[in-house]
Amino acid sequence: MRRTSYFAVALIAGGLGYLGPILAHEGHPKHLPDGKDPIAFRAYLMENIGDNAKELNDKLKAGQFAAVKVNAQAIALHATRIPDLFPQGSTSETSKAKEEIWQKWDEFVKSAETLRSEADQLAVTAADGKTDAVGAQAKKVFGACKGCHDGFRKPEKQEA
Amino acid sequence: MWYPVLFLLIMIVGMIAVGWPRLLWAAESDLIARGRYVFALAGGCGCHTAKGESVNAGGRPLKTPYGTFYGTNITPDPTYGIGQWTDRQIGDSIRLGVRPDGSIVSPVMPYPAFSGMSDEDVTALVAYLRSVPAVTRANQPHEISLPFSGVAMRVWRWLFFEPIAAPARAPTEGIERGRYISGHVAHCQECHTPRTRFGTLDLSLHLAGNPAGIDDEVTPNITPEVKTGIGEWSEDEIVSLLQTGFLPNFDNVQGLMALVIEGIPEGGYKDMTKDDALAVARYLKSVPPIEHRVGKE
Repeated sequence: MRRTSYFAVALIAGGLGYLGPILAHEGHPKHLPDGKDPIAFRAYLMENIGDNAKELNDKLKAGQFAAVKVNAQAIALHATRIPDLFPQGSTSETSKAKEEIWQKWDEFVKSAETLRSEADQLAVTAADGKTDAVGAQAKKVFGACKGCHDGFRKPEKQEA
Repeated sequence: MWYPVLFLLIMIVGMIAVGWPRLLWAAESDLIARGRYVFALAGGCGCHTAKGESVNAGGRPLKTPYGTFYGTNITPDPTYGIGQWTDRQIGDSIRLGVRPDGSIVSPVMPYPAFSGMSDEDVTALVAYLRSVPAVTRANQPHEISLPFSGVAMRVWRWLFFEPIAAPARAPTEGIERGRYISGHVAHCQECHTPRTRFGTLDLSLHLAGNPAGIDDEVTPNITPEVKTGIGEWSEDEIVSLLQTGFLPNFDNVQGLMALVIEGIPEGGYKDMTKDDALAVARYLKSVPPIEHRVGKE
């Protein structure tokens, strides 16, 4: 096999390795983030959580309770990444991250863990076929999002 | 011969004397309950309650391009609140922006919107306002950047305010009900419409979002425009937002919108009946769609 062919295969494999986990779930991303910029990447991650949440709710309304498992798993996975995307001082004039994130770091990490835990439980509940419990557990997931937003996110403000 | 008639009359008068206070109490209770609902539709009058403080006792700061205004005490306190005001004076303050001493209320208080509130709703609201506990809390002076602010308020009102002919009774159903609630009680346009340099609403962008709202907040476009507004939202999703504060993607609103939805303990948009929330949703879906992007994509 020619050297250029090996290089092409390696490039394609590396790209799939990077994209694969992202495309593996049904909340398809609209764009790829700059991995070096935590502000941009976490904005993308939150948007993806939102896409999954919308899809999850649409499935609930359609009575597709078991199908929400994949969305719950995606949300849980994203939740595990949240603390790493908020390194000390990673804010800007337009960032909605409150200073309280770093002032109450343990509480912030706990909020992310709560989201992961509730989303994991939703995946289990959906897989168990307990249709009555799925809606109730979904509310807990959304409530976890809200709890963190209320404590650690600023409302959208006009740019200076 | 006339003894039975007299006896009957005495019985009737006696029954009325015993029962009348209860009838009055029931009527008054109904009026206050209705007033509490109007209060909730108005977002719990949240501008008049500071965080963690007593209901309606004032003190909440509202940052605007013209300075910081502080919500006033609208409890029945006789010294700092509305305790000494007549019902007509309270109504005029709400709908016309005029205080009993003749001074003019700042248009941060959305009296232009409230001027279209029905007589029935204002009467009920006044009854409710009189029923909350009185709080002796002095009003905090506004920190206004305009010179001669009292004169400025009067001139602004003279130039730009035209009272709406308020109905005796509010519409009870349909898009008209939604238009009434949105425009004259919940006053959606006061936050969701951008302002001109004179502080008036830019009606060419009615409900199309304000990039420079109170407290520097960006308020979204809530016209049914697909790309920049809520055109893709269903009526149920709008209802859900009004009743829970959750967006269709289950993000939650924050800032002033969260305040008026969650309200204060006495009420907010979340207390809207399903029918009223649906009426508002249908009204919002019926307004002209306006492409107007505010905030980040």
